Amino acid sequence: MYDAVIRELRVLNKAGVHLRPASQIVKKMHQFKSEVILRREGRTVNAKSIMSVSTLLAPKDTVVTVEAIGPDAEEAVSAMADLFESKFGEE
Amino acid sequence: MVGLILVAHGNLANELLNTTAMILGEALTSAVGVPVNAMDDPESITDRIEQAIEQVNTGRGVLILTDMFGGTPSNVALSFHQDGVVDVISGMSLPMMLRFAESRDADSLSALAQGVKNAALESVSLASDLLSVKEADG
Repeated sequence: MYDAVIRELRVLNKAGVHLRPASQIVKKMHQFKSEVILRREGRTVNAKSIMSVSTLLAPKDTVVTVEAIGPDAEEAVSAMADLFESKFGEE
Repeated sequence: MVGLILVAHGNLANELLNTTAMILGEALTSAVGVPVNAMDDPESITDRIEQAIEQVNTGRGVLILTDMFGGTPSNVALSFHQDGVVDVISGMSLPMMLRFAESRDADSLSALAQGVKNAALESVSLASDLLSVKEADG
């Protein structure tokens, strides 16, 4: 069994987690074997499905929790944090 | 992977492919648009869909999305339906494209088609409904 790796991430880009960032998240998370979810305000989404991530509704300055379980959970969470910190290549 | 053909009035098919590529960061492979213009006769549309099927079929089946049930693109596309080989869904939309993109490696064309159809049904929202649910919760 693997322990969950959990981290809170702040949405820094002006437009929030809209479709294009969702696509980046999904593409990146598919590089990992771990299960990865995102949570915000009681909503939990599968970070490997764009249809799911698109329902996260996380605008700028909100906090999203990422949780990964699996053999490369640390790396997955770290990669997710990099995406949020890079503002998904946006303003 | 399952091939994809969009058949729609005007340039909607190609624009939906372009928009999907913008969201995904790359164009879908084995996916083509068949634009249908006012002066096109059904035979020419049939020919172009046939060519498109040959182009995108990798042996795992082909899904055809059309813009609206009852329109010429949809009527012509429906004639290509073949269980497990070619399926057709009308009312194409961006959510359907994204669901297709993430599940096109499915083993079964019919399961994929059902998923794509469900994505469309589940993604329609009315702001006043959403707000009334939120108020009831709050």
